[in-house]
Amino acid sequence: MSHFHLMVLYAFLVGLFFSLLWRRKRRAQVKLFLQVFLGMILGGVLVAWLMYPFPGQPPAPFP
Amino acid sequence: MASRQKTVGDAPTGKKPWIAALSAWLIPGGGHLYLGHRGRALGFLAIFLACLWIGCDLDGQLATWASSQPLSPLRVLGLLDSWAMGVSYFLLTKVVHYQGVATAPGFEYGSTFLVTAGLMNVLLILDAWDLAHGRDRAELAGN
Repeated sequence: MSHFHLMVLYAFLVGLFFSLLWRRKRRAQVKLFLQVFLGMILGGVLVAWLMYPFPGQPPAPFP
Repeated sequence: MASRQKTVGDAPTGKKPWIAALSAWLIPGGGHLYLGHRGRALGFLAIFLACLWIGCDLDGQLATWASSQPLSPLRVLGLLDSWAMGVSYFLLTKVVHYQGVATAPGFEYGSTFLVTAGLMNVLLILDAWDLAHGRDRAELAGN
């Protein structure tokens, strides 16, 4: 599994958990699930792009 | 028609809160099962087991007690998180003798899933305690 797939899986499980824990009505559960799920995935992608200008390793030398 | 404002208050359920909390600690979802919320109990158990399974499959770290290792605040938190898993922690450490592999490619991800499983159960224990006291905050908030 790739990093992204694991992140999606994690967001899915956490979204499912909180929607079951904090909501009773089906419509409200779906709404909260989508908020948590999409928030985590989009947030993760956003943070990844914010870190893009700061690579962990020096850039490869010119050939 | 004037709407009646709901307030949080205790409504007797006839269930003992300490049994609900203890059941929730031992088996994730056990407290909710004791309180009669079967569907949610099964859902919580399934989610917990999924996190546990994925965490172990990725060889994540499960914090265990080792007297040779110093007790740092983070380590204490890690131990409390692991112990919060209840019977699962006992089965993993004493029966299966599970140990994470620090050099495994999925080690960090696996550790994240395992920590999350423990934290989820902490929330389940608190929720079962509240429900046993008749404090269903989601219901009272109209959710």
